[in-house]
Amino acid sequence: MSIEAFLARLYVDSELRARFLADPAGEARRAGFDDATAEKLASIDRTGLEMAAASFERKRDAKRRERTAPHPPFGHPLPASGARGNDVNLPHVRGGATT
Amino acid sequence: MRKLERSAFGLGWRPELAAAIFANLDAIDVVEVIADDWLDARSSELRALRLLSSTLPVLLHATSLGLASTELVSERRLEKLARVIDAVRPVAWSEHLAFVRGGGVEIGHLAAPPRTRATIDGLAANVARARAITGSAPILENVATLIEPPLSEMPEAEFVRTAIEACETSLLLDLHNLHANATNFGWNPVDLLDAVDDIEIGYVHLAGGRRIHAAGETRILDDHLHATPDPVFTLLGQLAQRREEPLTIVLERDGHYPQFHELLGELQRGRTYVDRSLPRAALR
Repeated sequence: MSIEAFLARLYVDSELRARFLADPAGEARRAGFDDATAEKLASIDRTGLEMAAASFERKRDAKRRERTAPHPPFGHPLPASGARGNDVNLPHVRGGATT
Repeated sequence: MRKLERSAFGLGWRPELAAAIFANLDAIDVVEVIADDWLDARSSELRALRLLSSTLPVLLHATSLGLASTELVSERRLEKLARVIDAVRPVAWSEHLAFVRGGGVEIGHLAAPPRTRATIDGLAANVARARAITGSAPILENVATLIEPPLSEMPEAEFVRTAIEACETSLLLDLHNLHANATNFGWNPVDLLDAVDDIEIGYVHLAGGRRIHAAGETRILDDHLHATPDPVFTLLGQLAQRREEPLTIVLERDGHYPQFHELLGELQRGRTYVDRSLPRAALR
């Protein structure tokens, strides 16, 4: 299991989170992590974990509500004139090298 | 082409703000569009977005790729994004130094990854894949977090710098995320400004949040529902003082919308802090 897979489950699964907080190193070992990683996970920021999990849950709830009540991406007809558009050089906006 | 001599200021494009944005084009230099809203858009909808990008410079902001991960980014998601980029032709596109899923489980939002070499290697591979499919690399944004990322081996400042260098791209510096993390975990936000002093800044985010409480602790949640707080403007001024080049600055607001003149007031306040730093060379 990747570390991201474990953390994703930890953030969304309240039962796993409860088991983990009761025995963090043991739960990490049961997920397949070695002793060193399990010990590091045992020192997790517990308050932050609960705060983050609650915040992620609110975000998922909000997304579910958005899906059931879609709104148009434009709230107003687009103007046909006065264009300045993407031929304007913004100061220093540049991504990485193109292919 | 018209070259903007001064720093550029703009807003996150939201349907609720669209009418007001069009009514105030003289005060807005750029809009940032959330790419994820358009990944499944019909061709006609993308043509409408193209009309927007021919009216006003557009930055395309992705939130769901989950590039900062040891797991491989989805080719299908990148192909959808490439379709939007091809249709809209934004000035640039951006993503976050975050993961959003793991092992098929969707977190539902941006999660700060473990600050490790393995994450940076995974990120670099994912950015290379994104570059190959979309034609350009994303500008990468530092993210806010309520939890100190587990298994981290380096401070955030070192992680951000190393990540940007590994991906050969530029930084979308979110100053509220910086303020929130520095406050939440007790470090000086100037440490990160120092660390990225010679890193290219793609553009800058301003936003607000609120304080939340649990287990006797208080942390800042980056919710984009509140006005930009004073320390973020202070950081903007400090950033501008360090930079020779003008900046592009985008204010993010995702709800609890105030009267539009209040958002314009935030942009104007940002301009004041940036202009205050002129002439930059004399202040270095």
